[in-house]
Amino acid sequence: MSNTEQATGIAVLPDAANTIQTFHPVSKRLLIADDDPTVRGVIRTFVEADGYEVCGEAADGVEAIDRAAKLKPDLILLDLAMPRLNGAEAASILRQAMPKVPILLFTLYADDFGERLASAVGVNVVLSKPEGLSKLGKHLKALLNPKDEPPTSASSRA
Amino acid sequence: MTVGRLVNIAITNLGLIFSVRGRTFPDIRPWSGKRGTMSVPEAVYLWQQPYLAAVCETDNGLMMIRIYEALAAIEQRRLTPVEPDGDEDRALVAAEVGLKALIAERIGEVNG
Repeated sequence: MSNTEQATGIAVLPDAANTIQTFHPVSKRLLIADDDPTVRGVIRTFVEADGYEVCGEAADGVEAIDRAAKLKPDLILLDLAMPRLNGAEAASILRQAMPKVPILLFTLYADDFGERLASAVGVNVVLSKPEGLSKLGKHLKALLNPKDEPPTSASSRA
Repeated sequence: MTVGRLVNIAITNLGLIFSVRGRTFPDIRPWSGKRGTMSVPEAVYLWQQPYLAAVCETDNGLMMIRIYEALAAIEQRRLTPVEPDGDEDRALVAAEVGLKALIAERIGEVNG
């Protein structure tokens, strides 16, 4: 027991100061599904910097469905091209299982993967990969805080 | 390893090994106090533009955005055949390694 603990009778966590600084009271929990671990790492770092919590990662659609059922995320980020079960297939299953959880789909084919198909499989927002993460922050904010003004995007129906 | 050093290594590798043309310009920087030349890397392949943008990005807030764009460009290029072990294939591998190094450093900065 440290001197502080002896004097106060309260156990002090070693990283208490950091914990207080980084604690986000309304932190939303995200699930990231992409078959490329490098991409998952980039998205994780990006969203964590924005104050979101990544509650889990998945390498394919099947894993995404499994993790989503266990972790109950507030939002799911899916890549379209994934092994076993692609993002669109996973989205349609996830939409039935978790109707209120927003789903965001990253794809290289945003032009082809149109609004109708996105709507059919239950995806809230389709983001073009070449557009990168620049629009992700605004979409996350709009999807997780519906009172905020939604961003304007041709592929978005959020 | 600092970002600056990593950028230098990446640019050097690009220039020496992976066929990125270097254009030579007169060094007109007034603060350098010397006359000479500096080499600016130029993308040979279309997908290299976002990669070079990521390597040269100095704004930490934009770094992950640039890296993601570069990864997407590489993924898009990989959708069509690339001559195995050809110049472009080796450039793609080098870019992937470079991006992973950038990511590792960035994540290290965030966590550390």
